Amino acid sequence: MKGNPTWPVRNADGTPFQSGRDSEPSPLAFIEYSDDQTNSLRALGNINAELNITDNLTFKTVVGFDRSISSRKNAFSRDLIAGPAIGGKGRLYTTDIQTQSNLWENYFTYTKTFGQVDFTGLLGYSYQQFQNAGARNAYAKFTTSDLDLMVNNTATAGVSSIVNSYNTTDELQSYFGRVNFSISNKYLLTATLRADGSTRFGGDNKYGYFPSAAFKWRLKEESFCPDLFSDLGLRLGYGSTGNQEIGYNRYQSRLRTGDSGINNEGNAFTGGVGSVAFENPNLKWETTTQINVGLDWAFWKGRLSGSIDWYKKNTSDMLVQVFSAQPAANDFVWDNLDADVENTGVEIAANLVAVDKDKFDWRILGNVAFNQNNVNTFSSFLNTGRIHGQGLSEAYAQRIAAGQPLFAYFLREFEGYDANGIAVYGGEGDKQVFLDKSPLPKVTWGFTNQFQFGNLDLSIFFTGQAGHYIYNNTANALFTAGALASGRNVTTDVPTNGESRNNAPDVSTRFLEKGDFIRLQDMTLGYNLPLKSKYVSSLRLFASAQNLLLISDYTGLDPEVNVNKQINGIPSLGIDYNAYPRPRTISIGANVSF
Amino acid sequence: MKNYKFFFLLPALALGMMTFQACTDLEPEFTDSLLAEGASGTFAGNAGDLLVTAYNDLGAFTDQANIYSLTAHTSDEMIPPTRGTDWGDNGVWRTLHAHTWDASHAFVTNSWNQLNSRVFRCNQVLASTSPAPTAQQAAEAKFLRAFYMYHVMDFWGKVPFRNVGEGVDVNPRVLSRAEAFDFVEQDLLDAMPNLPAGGPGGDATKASKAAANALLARLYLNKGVYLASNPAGPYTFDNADMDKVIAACDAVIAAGYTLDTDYFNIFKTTGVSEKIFTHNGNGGNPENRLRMTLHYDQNPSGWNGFATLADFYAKFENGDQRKGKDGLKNGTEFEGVGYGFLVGQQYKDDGSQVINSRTGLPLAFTPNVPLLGAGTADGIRVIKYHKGNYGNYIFFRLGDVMTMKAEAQLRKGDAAGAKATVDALRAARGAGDIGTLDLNKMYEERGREMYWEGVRRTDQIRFGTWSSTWSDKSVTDPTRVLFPIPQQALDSNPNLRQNDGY
Repeated sequence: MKGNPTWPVRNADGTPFQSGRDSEPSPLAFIEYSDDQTNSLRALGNINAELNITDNLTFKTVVGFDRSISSRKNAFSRDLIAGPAIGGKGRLYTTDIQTQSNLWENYFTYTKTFGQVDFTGLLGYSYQQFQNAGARNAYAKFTTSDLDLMVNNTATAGVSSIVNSYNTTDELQSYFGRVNFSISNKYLLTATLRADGSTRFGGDNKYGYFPSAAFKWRLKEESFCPDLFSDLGLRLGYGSTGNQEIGYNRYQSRLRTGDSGINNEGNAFTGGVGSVAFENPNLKWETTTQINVGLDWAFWKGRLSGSIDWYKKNTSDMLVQVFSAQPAANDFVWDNLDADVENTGVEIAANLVAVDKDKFDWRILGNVAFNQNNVNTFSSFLNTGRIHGQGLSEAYAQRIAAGQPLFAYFLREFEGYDANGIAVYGGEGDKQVFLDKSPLPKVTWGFTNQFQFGNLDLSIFFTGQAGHYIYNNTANALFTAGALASGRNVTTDVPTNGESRNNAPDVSTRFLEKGDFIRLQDMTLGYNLPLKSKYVSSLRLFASAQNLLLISDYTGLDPEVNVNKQINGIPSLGIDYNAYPRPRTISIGANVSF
Repeated sequence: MKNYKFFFLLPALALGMMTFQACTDLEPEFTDSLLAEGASGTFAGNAGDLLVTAYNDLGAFTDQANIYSLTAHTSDEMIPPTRGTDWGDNGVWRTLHAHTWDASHAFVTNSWNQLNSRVFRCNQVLASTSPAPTAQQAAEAKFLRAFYMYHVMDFWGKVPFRNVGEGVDVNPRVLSRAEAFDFVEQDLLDAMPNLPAGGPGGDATKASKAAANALLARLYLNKGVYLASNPAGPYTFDNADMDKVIAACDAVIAAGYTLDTDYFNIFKTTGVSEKIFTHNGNGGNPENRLRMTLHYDQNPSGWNGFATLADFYAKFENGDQRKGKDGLKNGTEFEGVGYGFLVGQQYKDDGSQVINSRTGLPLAFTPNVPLLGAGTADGIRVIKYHKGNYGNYIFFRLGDVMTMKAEAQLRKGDAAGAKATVDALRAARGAGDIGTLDLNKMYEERGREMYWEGVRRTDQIRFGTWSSTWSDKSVTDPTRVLFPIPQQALDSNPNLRQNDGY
């Protein structure tokens, strides 16, 4: 919402002031002339039972259910000036949703020690069912402005439309097994195999098979381990996991009658029959495979400890909505993307007990992670990062393509303005190009200092990210010379930056900013009162602050931002568009134990 | 202890088994949609219902973006200036005007999807089995398929094709321009016997023999372009094809259509004598045509967008109705806005001057308009569908057919017949005798009759003016007669090959 800050709040007769412009409704009028109520009822529970068949073999079964019913009524009075659909006519939307999910899980566990070997084996089956049903109605042309009557006496509407209803059921069925070996408490091995089946895929592709294995060698237990180490361990891991998160039945050709509704003129219309899915028998599970190597270490009786991990994660057969080969029933179709997205990185963590005295204790905890992301072997591209604002239809800022990180920025290279105040672009001129800039941080880190002076304790936690960029859609849409010429307020740099009121502020590096930041995420000061009471066993007083300090060159409100700017179901990352700023919270409190 | 646990286990197991079918086959019932498996080309669709959707789908042509923009902004009749924060839109408009679009252009891509998916919808009508189409429904679906496919052939010079039973795993085959031409022609000839006659008393929102003949005329008139060995020309127009154009046009005229002596009445609900084929108003209406050009401060408030070029406007003589007229300015709502070309001072409904709220000055449209950085009053605006009264969006009308007939007569050497056809049209439009008719005059007449109705690009290509220059259009690359196959379409179908020059 945007509006002129000099507007009055109310008119002389007490009604909320309204600007008369559809795009600028007053917040107070919105509150008073609309009503949005949701009633929900949710019931959930689970029962489990366990049977010890022998001393080593147990069987467990779990039955769970979760049901919810919700009913929403969203009314807009005809007195609200907010577009032709509402003003003078009024609108009511009702939505009823029923969801339920059921779970049944059974597994056998076998535990046995064979000499130096501890063995645990697990074999199981699980079944889940998810049902979603709902119905929507719309009403318009009300004879009343009374919100209660609109909701509770719907015959006050001159026009009604049964918009649509739906009812979908999905199922997941898994068979899984796991073995754990611990040999001499020195070598630890675990291996898992899952067969996951989903109704989201057809034919032979319903099941995906996902193995994983992990090995840990406790080097500290070996005689050759130097005494310098108080702990030393090597970890190796390999595993694959599946993802089936796409919509309901995208593998068969299906027809549905589209939504009915009421248009802006207040007339009811009916939907036509159309294809909701297109035959895709090859649709299958998305798979992510990860290998990792890690080392855990500690020196000086654990006063300095930490770990270092290297990982490589590849996602293949990504489930993405892609461009249909036309002629097609639908312009976009869910398919397994013939691409491989690779993440490689190193994560380092270290903890140091700097001072360990009776009255004073100081611990330093640090972690840093480096990640590199790349899209390999993808022969097409997908645009995402929709940029909104006046004169920005069809604008986007990101493109997913081979050889680039996911969500890589794809922009014009802004160089300034010509003598007439019209934007000048370098590189390939008025064309979007890759810039080797991405919204994915190259480095993320955290740094904590914990102090304890007797009964007083203090913890200071900093966090930060670096090496990434934020697209400031807010500035692109609102802070331009053209916006100023249309009578809207802008930031102070705009009037003097040389831009003509007639310039079109197309997406470009003009609105791309570094996202590096350091944040004082949390600071807590506490005091434990020394008590010798019969009734109160401990009393702690504390003051805590979150988001106390932010160091960043980003001109928007907060660089840690991600507004959903998807295009055709392709998600975006790192775009700011009127995002709510992160709150700064300060709390004081006491913990008392009796 | 063991028994105690067993006591709970049994009911839990029983509950589990009662609630769920153990070991499901993962084939749940699909209760809210109709499974329409296309095994061996059959399709469990309802032909009548799908045909309704196929007609409503024509609404895509009423959008100012996508299909319409490819026909209009690329030509010399329309310019989409950026005006401050308006109409930059990531360059989609200005690159069309400047002929600098590329294979990832959003409107080229969207139009490809819109037109081809509509062809597929018609395939679904024809393949439906529950119930199957009647003979007339099948004819209507073939007409609509021809209409949609004609545009694919016209824009891209090749046409992908997929049968209903072919899913995502099948790469559609690709018809060459000549094959697509034959396909469209055959669909129209097949449809013809089972279509109603049409005529001014018929339902113009439905396919008719008249509509099919109008499309056949357009097809044959451009056959020299579509079958040229080089899409950029040179083009030769066979007399036999021109005879087919004339025969198709005469068949339309014989259905009883007559020229309206009030040009702008054609675009109102009251004008029925010229309307051959229109949209039905579901899923689009002519509102965008007036909003896309009018200024914010006019009534109705527009989006302050598109204008015509000064050179195009200069081709109109005074007295020609088509040049435009003022609104009634009598206080009736929307009657401040004129018809045709809006030049100079603009008026409110009551006849007083409109003041430009962005500058505080009286709003007067000026003929010259730059492509980049235009002022809000730059450029002549164009109104055919007027907010006071507009009818359904028109695809074919008699004026179009008359100019096609005249052009065919002229191209086959019947200059006298062509002049008679043109003069009959001009008389109805209040314009004088054309004088000696030549191809250039024919081209200008076609422009005067059909401006902003979505045919200018095809006309410019056929008359050989496409690769010339005009205001803010300096690219003369002849390969621009075809649009590029959208990059994502190429990537999605290995059978497609990019057009030359892209």
